[in-house]
Amino acid sequence: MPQTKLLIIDDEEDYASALTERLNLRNFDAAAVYEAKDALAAVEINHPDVILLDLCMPGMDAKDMIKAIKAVAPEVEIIIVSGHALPTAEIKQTALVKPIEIKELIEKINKAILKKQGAL
Amino acid sequence: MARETGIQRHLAFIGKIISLYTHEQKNHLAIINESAGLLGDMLEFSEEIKELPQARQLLDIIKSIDAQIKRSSEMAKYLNAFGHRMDSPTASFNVNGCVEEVLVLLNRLIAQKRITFKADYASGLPPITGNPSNLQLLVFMAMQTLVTVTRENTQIFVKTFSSNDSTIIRITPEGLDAPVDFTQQSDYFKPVRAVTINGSGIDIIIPVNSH
Repeated sequence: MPQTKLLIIDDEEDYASALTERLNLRNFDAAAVYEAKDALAAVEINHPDVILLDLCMPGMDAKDMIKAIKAVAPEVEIIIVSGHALPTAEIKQTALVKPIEIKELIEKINKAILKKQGAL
Repeated sequence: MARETGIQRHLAFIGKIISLYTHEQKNHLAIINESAGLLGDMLEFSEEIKELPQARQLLDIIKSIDAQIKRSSEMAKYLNAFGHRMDSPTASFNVNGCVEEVLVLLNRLIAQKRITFKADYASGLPPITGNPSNLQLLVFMAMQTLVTVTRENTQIFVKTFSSNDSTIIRITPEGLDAPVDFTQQSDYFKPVRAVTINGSGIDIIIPVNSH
């Protein structure tokens, strides 16, 4: 079975690199970028199945970033991650608030994969 | 009017700083969480590290870090919500959430006197339109007054309920060293008012329609 490819887009390097290692230990194929400007290129190169996107990054409007990602990779699933309390019920359904329980994150990723495969 | 605008701006400023701070705090906690989590993973996934004599102790330390992260994250969540109450002088809000935030954030003050509080929040209370931050200030003032006259090692009961066209926050200590004396001396909180209940507690009365 091919590994699920994940891309973490988060400016907190220590957070993103530790999380990347933890996900890789759990048989995911995870990579991270720490700057919004590198995100689109990483999406095009890595072809991730799921993206973990920090809602609030310097120099990035999350809505615009989601649009841009979807333009280059329409099939990718995006999980929003935020340090903020989440603004709307719609976002709450698909997002996670930091700090995140690894179990909860993996459940969310697995759900996103099922959704991508059309099983949800 | 100009003074009220000034106060409102000041509150919005404090609220903004609090919400920015809690956002940063959550980010820091997330880093600690993942770093401690990675240590735990290394212990779990590496046979070599698992065999270290200190492995058990390391796992206990990681568990302790994890518990403190959860504790701090919960406080940050309440503090963030508290900060956002100051965003605007008028908002539609739920009384229970407003009261809960103040109680959680006052826990240290209450615990210093070895007092605990027990809350009983009515479900289905109608939303209130008004200034949630003002209401929280009044709840804080009432709690502060009550804590000074409440006997150590007792409980303070906080209950919300509907009565006629009002939502009431009733705060009653279990044991008192002196009668409760809480007179609301300012119009600042109108139309919300606070009254003492025979010297044994405080009712904060919030008109549902006219607030």
